[in-house]
Amino acid sequence: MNREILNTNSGKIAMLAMLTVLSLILTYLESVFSLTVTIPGVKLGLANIAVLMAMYIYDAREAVVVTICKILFVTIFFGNMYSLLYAITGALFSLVAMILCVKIFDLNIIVVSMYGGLLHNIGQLIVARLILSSIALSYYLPVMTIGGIICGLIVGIITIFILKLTKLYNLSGVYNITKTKDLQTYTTKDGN
Amino acid sequence: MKKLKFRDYLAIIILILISIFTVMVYFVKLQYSTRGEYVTVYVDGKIRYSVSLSTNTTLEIDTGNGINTLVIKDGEAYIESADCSSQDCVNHVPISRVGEQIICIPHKLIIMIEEGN
Repeated sequence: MNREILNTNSGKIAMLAMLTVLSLILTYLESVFSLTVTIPGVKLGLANIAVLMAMYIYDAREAVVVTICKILFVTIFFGNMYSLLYAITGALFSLVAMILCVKIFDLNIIVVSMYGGLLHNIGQLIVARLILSSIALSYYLPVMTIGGIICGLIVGIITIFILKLTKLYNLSGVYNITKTKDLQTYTTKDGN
Repeated sequence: MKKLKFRDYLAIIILILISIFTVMVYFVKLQYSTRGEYVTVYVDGKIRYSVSLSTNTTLEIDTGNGINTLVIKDGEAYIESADCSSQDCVNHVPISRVGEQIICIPHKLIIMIEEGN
């Protein structure tokens, strides 16, 4: 995989499709062995690896695309009304936080991932509070915040390894988003 | 890994502060909690049953979305079995302190410990 191919329209579509599928596989994997049995609501969030990769191979817009596709597929195949609601708010909070961290605050990938995990869980807690309207949910607060941060740390480290090993990080070669104008998507001669 | 700048350390410190804050909230709540007297069962936001914690009972709750079996034994309440797919409610530890709850999200069921009358 070299960078020129990845930046073509069809290359981008292929890469984003692979990342979406990756997130689905990771979602399935973590449902098999995860901690959900012991601590309710805290998942490893491995699917965020794919979203982070989209963010750092391309840009924020592509990360949003991967997240939306992942949510669509997961709800179509495994979900119900509630899981959709929780997934959407969790992803919304998480994406907003990660995009802020990357674009405005320019933070390290691991810190971005930690905030993503944290805000994802906070978003879900807020939805749970609105649906169930009960204050005692704050008993879950420390577990979900600390769990989200730690899971974000793990996800960030794994993502760094993947990006390094596959050399998929973006043009500047460091784990930092380049300005979007450097990352041009163009069509090749045969109109791809 | 890229060099960590001052911004990153600041962000990490903020995360640590948030964690400490949430743990403090949890312990403060724990301080103020007392042993409860009643178990109130809410289905879809409305009170369905109110049972005393001092009597050992088994209660089968038909929530309209499924069935949960509530057991009160030795001053604690827990859900013995349920036909929901996630089983979070069944795996929960027994509750006994005021404000503690066990919830079953797909069945819209909340069992909560309350005090007084």
